[in-house]
Amino acid sequence: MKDTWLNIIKGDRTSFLKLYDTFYTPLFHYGMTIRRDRELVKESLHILFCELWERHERLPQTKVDPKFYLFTWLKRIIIRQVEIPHSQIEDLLHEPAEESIEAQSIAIEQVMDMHERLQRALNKLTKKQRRYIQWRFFEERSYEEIAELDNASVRTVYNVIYEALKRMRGDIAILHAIILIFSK
Amino acid sequence: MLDPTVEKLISDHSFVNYCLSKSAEDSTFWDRWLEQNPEHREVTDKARQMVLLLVDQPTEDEFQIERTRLLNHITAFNEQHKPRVRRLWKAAVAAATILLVGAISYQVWMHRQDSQLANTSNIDWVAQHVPDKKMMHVALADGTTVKLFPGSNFSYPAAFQDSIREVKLDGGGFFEVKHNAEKPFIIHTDELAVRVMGTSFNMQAYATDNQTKVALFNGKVLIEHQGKQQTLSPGQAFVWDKKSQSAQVESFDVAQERQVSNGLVVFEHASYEEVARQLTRKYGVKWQSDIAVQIQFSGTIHQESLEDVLNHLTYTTDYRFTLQQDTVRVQQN
Repeated sequence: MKDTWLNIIKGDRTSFLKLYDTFYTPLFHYGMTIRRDRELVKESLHILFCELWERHERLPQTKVDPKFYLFTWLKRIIIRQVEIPHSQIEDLLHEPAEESIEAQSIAIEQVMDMHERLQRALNKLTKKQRRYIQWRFFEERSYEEIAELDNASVRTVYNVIYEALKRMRGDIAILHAIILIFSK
Repeated sequence: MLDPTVEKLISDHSFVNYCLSKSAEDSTFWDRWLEQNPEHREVTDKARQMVLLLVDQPTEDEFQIERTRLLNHITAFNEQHKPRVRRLWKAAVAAATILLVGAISYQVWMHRQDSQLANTSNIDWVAQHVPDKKMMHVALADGTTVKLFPGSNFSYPAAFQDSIREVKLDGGGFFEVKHNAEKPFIIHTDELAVRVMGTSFNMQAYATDNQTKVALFNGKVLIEHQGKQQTLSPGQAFVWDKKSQSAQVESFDVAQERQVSNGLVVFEHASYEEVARQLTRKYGVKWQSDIAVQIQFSGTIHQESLEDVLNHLTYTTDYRFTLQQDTVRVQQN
């Protein structure tokens, strides 16, 4: 990824898109852990990559892994985007203080790891199982909606999703250990 | 639930609602269930974390739409930052050809009687939906920028054709169209087409609204409507009233209209339906009333909280507007 980064600084569009395709999903997930608002996260990611391209000549020739740069930049954009209505000021007072750099980089590594494991788990599913899981969870559709979409009975949809989750169980178990550390 | 496992819990519709705090009823149920079955807390925690992980993923459609939006932005950015000499040369050619092309394209325009799109069967359209409560910036490949208003649907081609730039709008937006005399820019709505000659303006053309409005700040636009053409000059607005089927050109308050793209909503003798529609877009609420509500509301709303707005409506009308969760209830006073 370091070569990709150096090529982006030179203005190589292909490398830029490679970075986008590699990190979009994990960054999206990370953004959602900061604020669960899909539109806000999408808009923030758009701003992140626009700014990245507009400043590509002036990006630091970083020695650390460029992904840390992306994650922390995204976090800043999200926080910048969120205006605080008066009623929420009190909530903010109870929010934990800014984490240390070490804590942040551990969190980032964990998001990447989770992303890879989830992809692996999803890849083990049949096409149908994967489609149903995406409808049910990524798009938050109900069983009834999926049944209608796919011309199937609600019972079938339920069974396919249940079997898919069971099949993902191995990877899920490892995932949990990580998520639990992460959310502490 | 007997012998809950992670997959049993996650497959349960009401459990997922509980994890996402979607329904008060489900939350109460699962909180109580956990209290009564503390031995299942660990497996519940695991299932809950897994649900949150799964819903935090972008869908394939979202990814593709966002990717196209970004690609358009960087193409437009690169276009604007080409070496200077070439840009100046281009501008000179554009200036020289503008009159000629203007005359020719007017002819072409006259031949296209209706406001239908040109042959677009082989174009990849990108559909951008803006949810209530949000504004969204879109940059098109030609350098044109649009700030879309809440609740809008905007479609544009992934790449513009050679001779024309056409987009579709059901909703509102603040447009800053990049001037290119060789490639006219046309916005299509259900009922009319706006032909733009490099310019900035506000446009509100929601299919569900009674009024369609184009308010011009700079430049020039030509509006094609029911087989007639109407040119606008800066400071003029074209207003089409669907009920009375009448079109009007009027002057408008420029400073106020500029604030519309920052969330200002203006009401003039607005009916209950119109007020509800506009406030739904701005605040994302639902409406409920058991009676026919007859009001004529005038006023502007900008940064006020929904609560303030509802209080104001209550004071100035014969009805009581109260917020219950995400629904506004309207009752006779």
